[in-house]
Amino acid sequence: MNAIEVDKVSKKYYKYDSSEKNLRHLFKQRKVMENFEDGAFWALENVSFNIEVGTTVGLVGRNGSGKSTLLKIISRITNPTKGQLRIWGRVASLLEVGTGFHPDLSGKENIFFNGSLLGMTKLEIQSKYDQILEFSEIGDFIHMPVKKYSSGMYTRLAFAVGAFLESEILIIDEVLEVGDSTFQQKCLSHIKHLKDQGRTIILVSHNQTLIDTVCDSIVYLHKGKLLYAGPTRDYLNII
Amino acid sequence: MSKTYVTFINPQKNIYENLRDVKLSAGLSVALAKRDITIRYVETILGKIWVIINPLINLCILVFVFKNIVNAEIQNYNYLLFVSIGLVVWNYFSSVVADVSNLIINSRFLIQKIYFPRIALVFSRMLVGSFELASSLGFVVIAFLYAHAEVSPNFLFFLPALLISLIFVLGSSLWIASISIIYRDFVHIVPVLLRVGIFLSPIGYEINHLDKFTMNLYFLNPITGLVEFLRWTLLKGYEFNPLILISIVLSLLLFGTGLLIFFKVDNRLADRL
Repeated sequence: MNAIEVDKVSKKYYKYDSSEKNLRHLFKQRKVMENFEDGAFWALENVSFNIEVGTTVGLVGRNGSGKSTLLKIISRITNPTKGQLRIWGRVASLLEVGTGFHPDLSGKENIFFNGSLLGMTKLEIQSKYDQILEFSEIGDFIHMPVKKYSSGMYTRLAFAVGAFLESEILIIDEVLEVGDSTFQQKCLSHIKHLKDQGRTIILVSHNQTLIDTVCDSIVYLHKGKLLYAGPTRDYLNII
Repeated sequence: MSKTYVTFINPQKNIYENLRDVKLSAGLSVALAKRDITIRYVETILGKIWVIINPLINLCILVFVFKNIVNAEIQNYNYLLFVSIGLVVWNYFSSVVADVSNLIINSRFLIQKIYFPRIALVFSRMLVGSFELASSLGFVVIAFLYAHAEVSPNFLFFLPALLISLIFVLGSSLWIASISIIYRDFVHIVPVLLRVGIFLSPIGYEINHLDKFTMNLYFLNPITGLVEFLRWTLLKGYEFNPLILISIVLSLLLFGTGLLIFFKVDNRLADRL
């Protein structure tokens, strides 16, 4: 059974976007249109692969390979230009959850607000609240506005919210580069725990050893094209 | 992981997916509105008293300008009462619409990082406006007591009249939110429109004496009809102008088309910001 099916997906971006439209451009319409085609580029080209339920997939590739674009499409932030994706279940991105935090709200209020952003009901969030609080090690600070938090506390709360709020598919993008080593270890063991629970995980990292140890399969992108999608073992033989 | 449902992600959302977004956004709209109400008054000395101050200042200015300076006379009704009802619609409209052109742009960090039904942003702003609406209504009650006026038997239509105003405000908000994303100029146009609008709508004066042509022009502004409608439901003996129906139809049209244009803009929203 698949959790994600990516079917001939392409994404085109323009150098000139609508926000740069102004009166001057209106009068020079023709010229703009010429540039417009020149300014277009494909961030992803005809990418197809499947991710099975319960697997941990490493998304690898150098900067500009299209990893972020692909993640944006999977998490529905932007639409593909061509092709289709089929996704079974909710998608949450681990650290991005923290971007939904509002500095003036307390940690607790932010947890509830973020749950709603993910489409959870109040009751669902309530049932996870204690676990989140415990994992984040924030204690009584949970009732203080998050702007008073240290960056470490902020990150721990963001991780805890992302890790415990219900979603069938979890995107972990360069998360393990933050926090001290004790917390990193904790995150790593939690990822393994989530894996055991049968959650589907997409892991983005430049850390090759991490990818090798945690991931069941690899999706390798280069300049917007898919170079490899399959088991980690075969991938290691290829490179 | 009990309920796994499939989501199809295509280059374009179809109308059913868009409408499902509207349905799914209910809980989030309330959460967003609660958050905004909390944030708005956090660390202000007067706190939630600000909800009362803004409509009060509007009321005082209008009464001062029209009653004391222009000497506008309202036949049969107490001036304060007349104006306070007009301001229910106007305050609601202006407070929501003033924010809505910047709303999506200010939420760009959220929009570009997390997926959620974005239409919830507009709905939530409307809910916050409804919170403020309560204080405008409070002033109407005070004005009634002050003027010792009787409530019209048409009072039954009060809630429907308020509902139409709500739909009108929602429709205009959806339009302005969508257009402002494509043409940022609207961020500058909206405040100008609001400054002019309060004088071009019959909030502080009567329009009974106008000739037919000007009257028709007036009712092309839906606010005219909505204000007159609300006054008819509250003020005893207030005349029902059939042109109100035009405003109602316009409000419904604005809402329908507003939804459609928002869906259209929503499609490539994250790339546009």
